[in-house]
Amino acid sequence: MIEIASPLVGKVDLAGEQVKLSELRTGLLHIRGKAAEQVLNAAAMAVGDVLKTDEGLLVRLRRDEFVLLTEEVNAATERIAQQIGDQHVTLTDITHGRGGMTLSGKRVNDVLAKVCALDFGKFVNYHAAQSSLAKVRALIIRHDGGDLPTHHIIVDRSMAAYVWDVVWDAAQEFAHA
Amino acid sequence: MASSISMQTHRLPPAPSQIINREKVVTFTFEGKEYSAYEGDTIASALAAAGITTFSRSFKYHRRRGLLCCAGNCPNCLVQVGEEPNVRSCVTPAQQGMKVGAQNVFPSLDVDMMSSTQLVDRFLPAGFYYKAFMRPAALWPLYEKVLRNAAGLGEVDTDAQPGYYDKVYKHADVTVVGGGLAGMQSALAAADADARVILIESEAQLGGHLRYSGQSRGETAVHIQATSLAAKVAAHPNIEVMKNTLAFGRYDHNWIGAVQGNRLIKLRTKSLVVATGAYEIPPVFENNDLPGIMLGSAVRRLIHLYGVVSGTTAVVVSANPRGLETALKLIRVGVKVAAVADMRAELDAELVAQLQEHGVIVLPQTTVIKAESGMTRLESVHLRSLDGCHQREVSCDLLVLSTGFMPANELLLQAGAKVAWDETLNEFVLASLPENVFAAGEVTGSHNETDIVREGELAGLQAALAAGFDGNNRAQSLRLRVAPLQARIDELQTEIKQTREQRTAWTAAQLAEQAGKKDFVCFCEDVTSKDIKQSIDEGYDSMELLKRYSTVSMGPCQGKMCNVNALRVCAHYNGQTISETGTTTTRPPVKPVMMGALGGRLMEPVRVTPMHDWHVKRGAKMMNAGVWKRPEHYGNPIEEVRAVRERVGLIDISTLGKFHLHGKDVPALLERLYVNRWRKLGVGRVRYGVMLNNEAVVMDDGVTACLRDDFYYMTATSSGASSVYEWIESWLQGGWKLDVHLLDATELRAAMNLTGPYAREVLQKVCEGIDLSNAAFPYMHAREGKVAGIDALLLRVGFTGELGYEIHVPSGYGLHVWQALMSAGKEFGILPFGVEAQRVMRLEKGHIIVGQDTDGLSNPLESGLEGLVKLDKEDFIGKTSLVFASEYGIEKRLVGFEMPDGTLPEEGNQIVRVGNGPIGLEIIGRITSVRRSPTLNKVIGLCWLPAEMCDVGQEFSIRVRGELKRGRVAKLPFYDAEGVRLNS
Amino acid sequence: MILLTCPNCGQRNVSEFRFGGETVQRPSPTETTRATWAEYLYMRKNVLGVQSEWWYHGACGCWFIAERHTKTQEILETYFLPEK
Repeated sequence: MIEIASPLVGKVDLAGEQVKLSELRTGLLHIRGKAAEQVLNAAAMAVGDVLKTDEGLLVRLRRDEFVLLTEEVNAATERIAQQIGDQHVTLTDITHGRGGMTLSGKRVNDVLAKVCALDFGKFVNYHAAQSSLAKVRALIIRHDGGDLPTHHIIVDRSMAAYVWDVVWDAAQEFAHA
Repeated sequence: MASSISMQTHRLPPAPSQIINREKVVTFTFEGKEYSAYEGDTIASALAAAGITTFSRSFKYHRRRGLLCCAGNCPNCLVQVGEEPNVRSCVTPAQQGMKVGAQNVFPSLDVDMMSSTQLVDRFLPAGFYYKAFMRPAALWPLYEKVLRNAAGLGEVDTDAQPGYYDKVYKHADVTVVGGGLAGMQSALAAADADARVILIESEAQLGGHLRYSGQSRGETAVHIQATSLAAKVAAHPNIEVMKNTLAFGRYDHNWIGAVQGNRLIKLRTKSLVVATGAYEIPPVFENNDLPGIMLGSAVRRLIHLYGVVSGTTAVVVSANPRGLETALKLIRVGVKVAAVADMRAELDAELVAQLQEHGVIVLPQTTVIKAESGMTRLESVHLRSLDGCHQREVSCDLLVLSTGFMPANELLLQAGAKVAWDETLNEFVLASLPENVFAAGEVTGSHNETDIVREGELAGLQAALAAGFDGNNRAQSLRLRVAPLQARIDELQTEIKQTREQRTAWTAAQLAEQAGKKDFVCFCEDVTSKDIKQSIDEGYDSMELLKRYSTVSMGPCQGKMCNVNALRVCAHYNGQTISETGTTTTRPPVKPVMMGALGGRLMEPVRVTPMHDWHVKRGAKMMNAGVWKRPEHYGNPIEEVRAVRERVGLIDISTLGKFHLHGKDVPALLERLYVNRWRKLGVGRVRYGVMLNNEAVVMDDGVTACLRDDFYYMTATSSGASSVYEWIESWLQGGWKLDVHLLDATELRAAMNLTGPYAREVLQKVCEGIDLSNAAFPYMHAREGKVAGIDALLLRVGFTGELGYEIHVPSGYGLHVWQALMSAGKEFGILPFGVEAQRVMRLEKGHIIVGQDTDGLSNPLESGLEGLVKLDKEDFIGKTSLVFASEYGIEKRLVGFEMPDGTLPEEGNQIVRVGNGPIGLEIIGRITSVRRSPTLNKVIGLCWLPAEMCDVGQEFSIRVRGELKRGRVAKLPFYDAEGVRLNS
Repeated sequence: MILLTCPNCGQRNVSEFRFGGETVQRPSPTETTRATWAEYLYMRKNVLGVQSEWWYHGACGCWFIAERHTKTQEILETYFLPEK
């Protein structure tokens, strides 16, 4: 089995007391279609909601668009495909098209405030937003591990190395504060 | 060390209000001499402590200038610090080792030869550069050089390395700009109402002028009031205090730009309270710019904050209680006050009594009309009663001016607030405020402390209330108890309304309009009232014209010291009121901001393909293709072309735009998007398509493959990828009811083009599941299978003109597949090739590059794409315009050409013929692509020509590096016209 | 830096968006005169007042309409194209 190359080859994790930055490696299944919310049983999810399921994290991006962060993209694809029937719902494995990183720690909001204009003071757990981070399009998902705020940042693969460098630099001031 | 401290001849004993730390001493140089400073001293306060009185030379006349405002508002103390020009030394902390120097002096600050310009000032009136030095025109470069050297500020070191600048986004419910009395009251009131408050203060401490006020209540009392209020603010959990922070601009929807050191702050606040106070401004009189002439607030800042006093004998000119308080303060620190001239008729009795107890002459309704200079500074002043009847000369080395204020209302004006001239107060007061913007304190014209406190609280409450409602929703987002808030607001508004009517003027109504030769209105640009009168006489009589012609208020202070006086003089000479004269527009930044700070955090997006590191290791010369990094070549592009034409080559085309289109309506969508037919493409087939916009201009091109009845794979140009996505979505979301899901797959796949006579052999070695024979997998078809064990999509297309396969694989396997192909191709002499080689080869085949060979006006019929356009289709984007346009006929065409004499012109060179142009030539076309073809051994290219000149063999003239060269229209394609190699 | 409310994502800085021009009615492309078509392509009302205009939010890929006052920059409403 050939390994999927990482877009962050050569990048060194930041392991500060107040801020940690590491690569996020996850499968990503993209689900699109008006009937998607029925198929996923996700009618109760608002845009920006994050739901933890057995398969992973389900994020609602738009009325008719979801993304599932999961280790098992193929299995999830098969399972969901069975629910589709003759409705027009498109499933695409977009794992290869993205690069991801995870920022966690007490000072996470201070780091993010340097690279993204969202109000992170109001960015609650299990919330996601698509915005501009370091001047490029990014999906930001907050999913705390334990009691420390944790944000996943998912960007286009081609830009992942650049975004990593910017976030890493922004984190320097707070990593050991 | 001891000896340099004893040089501080003008330092006072310690006092509680001082912010210097006498335990820590630093040294720096000024004009080559060493000086010492305490921690907390500014460069200027340290120099003043050592007795320095001349800090700079003025812009035009190179007159000596000393400290005037001591608050960073005037140009008099601008110095060069190391490689940084235009440093305001009165607000810049002195640091160990600083090399401080004067600006634009020759040869030195003390002996500046350029002050001789004063002798010829009659030749240098306002706007002289529009009238003088015009002839002979040939000498202008010399004049310019001399003038530029004579007038100017600091020097920029062009070798200076960029510093590190940071940026941060912040959010608040209420932002208060100004940490003085009003600002602190606002912040506390808003914070108590549960708002998230940010308080911005440009200096290093909160307190505003409380820090250097107060004679009548005892200095200690005021100082303590400031400190305790500041402590309350700092302790409040809802308030974040930002010191040393300049809020330089207020933009739409309360977006605030601020700078703190090397950090740019972009702050979005729901409500804004501006409590920035007022600038004290000097009056206009003869020689009002001499060293030794200072504003009252400057004198008090030096005394209270730094323990420095700059004179031994003072005259105070006043128009408000603060002037009298300053006179008393001077006496307390040991300065003789020779006279106090107050422009008012009714003075503060208690203060006058105290002054008279000390033997000070107090002259009501009297002002200063002229200052006399000694060798380097003020020597005496002429005082005159306002009725003109009494005049006297008084010797002094310090003239203290407390005659008026201008509100620091820039942020309010930027927000759209309207001001009006108040005839009673002689100041601009606020006439209207926009939504969610509030003001309090001296910036509104209130100088009385009780008023300031009330206004502060009111503004804070109003701001909190306004912030409690969430924009569109009008839903309450703060835990406000609205009713009690509103009640208190109503109460305060009533009180303030009453006291407003009782406000007395703190600014004098009158200027001395002597129109003397050296009475300065604008200190930055050396503009006198005589200059203003002259400008008006010449017809530049409106404020906006006057400003631009005379340059008044256009210098570093941007009108802080001179706007009001300029208006008064302008109004006076026009015979108008100030209201009738109007004001000029104020724009950000409020005070100077470093360009580097505005640049902020260095974030320049870079996109790399999955094979990037391989290219770099291989020695590729990388180029920028938009935001992408691509290999231009690997050392020898000609060798790369030969490799592809004779053997096999591999190019990374991962940057191509790629899209998945799913749904039953995809063919219908393609019919509308492209100029050609798509309904009957068929599974496994690939077609080239061109997209037009509504004006029938060629927008993008690419190939699209049908993989299943309801799944198509579209490609687009690298630079057009995101625009194509937006474009298609605009139609799908803009009303076309088509059942299509469009997915941007550009990043999902790495793509590479394996091309050359041996491409099939190479691919054979690593490909599974596809019959690669020409019959089974013809040109312009698509197949899916495995390459190097990876699921791959293969498109047989031909940009280079050789047998070729575009191999699209998931990005994470791109490098693996690339390496496998390079390995498999080794025995055939494979070479990687870059963008340059590709450019050459596509040109040999006559393929256009949209956006390079076509421009913003090119339609497909002119661009050689007429064969593709199917006007008998029902509709496609651009068809209507194309039909209309083609009724006019084709005026110009894109054609191929060659150079008979082998000259290599440049892309962009103009095609010309004899005509009515400036050098006897008119432009009739241009070269869009040109290369020397290694395959054909001649220069080939594409160009635009008038339609009547497009026959093969037609010659034309190209202007190449100033000379005329002959080109000749040639048939396209230049290479393999039959397409034999493509279809092999 | 205007605040614009994407109907999908909520309030964001205008720098996340791309302006798409005044909303205009597209004439039937097959039954139109040259003059009407030229007006569709090039003529705009450019009102001093509330303008109906298209915006694209790059972050989520949505096109929507905003009613914006061209002088005060007040955004009265933003919404997706109504499905008729």
